[in-house]
Amino acid sequence: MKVNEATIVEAATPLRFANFDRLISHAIKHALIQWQSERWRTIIPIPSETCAAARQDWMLGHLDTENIRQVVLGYQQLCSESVVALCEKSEGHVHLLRCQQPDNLTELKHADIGDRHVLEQIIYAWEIHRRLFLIASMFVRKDKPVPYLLRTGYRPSDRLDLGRFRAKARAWVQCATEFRMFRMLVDHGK
Amino acid sequence: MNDNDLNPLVQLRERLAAKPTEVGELPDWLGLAARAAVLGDRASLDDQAPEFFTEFKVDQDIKSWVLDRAKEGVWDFEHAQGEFLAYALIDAQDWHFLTCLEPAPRWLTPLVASIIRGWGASSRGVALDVEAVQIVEAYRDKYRIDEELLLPFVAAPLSQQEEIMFKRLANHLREMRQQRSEEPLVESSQVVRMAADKDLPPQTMRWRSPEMGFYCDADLIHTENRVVLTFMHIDGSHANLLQGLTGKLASFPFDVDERGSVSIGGDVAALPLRVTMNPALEIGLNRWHLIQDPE
Repeated sequence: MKVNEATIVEAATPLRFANFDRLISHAIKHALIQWQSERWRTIIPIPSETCAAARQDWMLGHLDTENIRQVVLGYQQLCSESVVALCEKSEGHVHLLRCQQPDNLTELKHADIGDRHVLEQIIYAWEIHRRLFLIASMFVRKDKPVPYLLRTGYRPSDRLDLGRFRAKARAWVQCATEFRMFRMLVDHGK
Repeated sequence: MNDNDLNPLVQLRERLAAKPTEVGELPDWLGLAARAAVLGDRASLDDQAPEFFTEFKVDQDIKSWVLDRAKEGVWDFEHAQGEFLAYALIDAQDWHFLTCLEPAPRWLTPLVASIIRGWGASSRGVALDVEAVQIVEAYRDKYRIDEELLLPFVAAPLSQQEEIMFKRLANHLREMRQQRSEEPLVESSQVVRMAADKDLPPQTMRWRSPEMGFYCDADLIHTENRVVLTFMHIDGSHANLLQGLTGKLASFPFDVDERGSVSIGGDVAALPLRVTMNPALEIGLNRWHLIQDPE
């Protein structure tokens, strides 16, 4: 599939992280257990006692416990539901394409970007009510897309007002297009 | 596509032409303007930024506005991961450029500059993953800005795994050196506390810190309520210090003069001291090695 032929694929089914190690690493760093877990307890669909017990397990260095498993799966469920809901409503997200790059940048000047092969379609989403930034990506293998996978779910500081939250999401999408050389496919964030 | 499409400064000018429409967009616009300024185009920063400050009423209390941005950035350092962490680091680097400009923008008071420096310095303990390192490297390689203006994590980003390997090597070297030595060891916090003690007369104490294959001597002088530390290599030459740090520096303002002396204010006692010898090497001076009694 070339860039010119790429079509928008919305995330419609429950998403998951690529593997449990990646999930647990993001869940721990992103405030579930290690930092400010209170902020997440209110939005993750599991009992707060389980969160507290998971935090205790983590502090003791035990990662392979039922409490932690429930917390990180709750984090995954929250991220998944948010991405799917935003896709359904066509709001708060953009679709970007990662395509094959030439070996050196001088070739880039002359090549037609539309003829490049698409490697991945990526959703950058921002959920206003819960102040969540989300990334999901879908690899394109042999011209056929495979299901979306979650890459991360992040809550920036509570101190950001709505305008700053939106602007920050926009600025970071801009960073993705600039430093990861992603191509904008469609903007559902306006 | 022509050559200008690939010129980073041309790209920046195009993005700066999209003016902020609300105050929430101003921090990112200002970061880009600072980046353009170190690349040689100060027009946006000098001409337009003050107008936006007035338009969005930021100029009424610019210190608080900058402090809020710094807190937002430090929050991201502590919580973000992967590419979001990389973008937070790029934000900090762009704002750090503001403190490197000569002449400095008129609105940039010393206090505001120290807040921005503290923001950049607080990135020091951040553990980068491979994804974040790749993005930061892409930023560094695209703009090719003078290394002296880059924060250490941009000049030489290290992933957490690389850092662990680096620290293991450092610990190994330190242990080897300590084994060869018979002199007593002291904690850096003791050194700083002694220097901060107002009852002691001004004095110079000489310490040596064996870490990472480096040796440096530190002269500690307390003047008024500040501690001044001058680091020197064992051969007597001044160490090329870019930053001097005490723990979470955001709340402990510091200055580095042209000779590399670090001047720290506030309650500095009992804080572990960390020093950057060059952009590539950050050295945690957790234990200092006494080689000479106070004179």
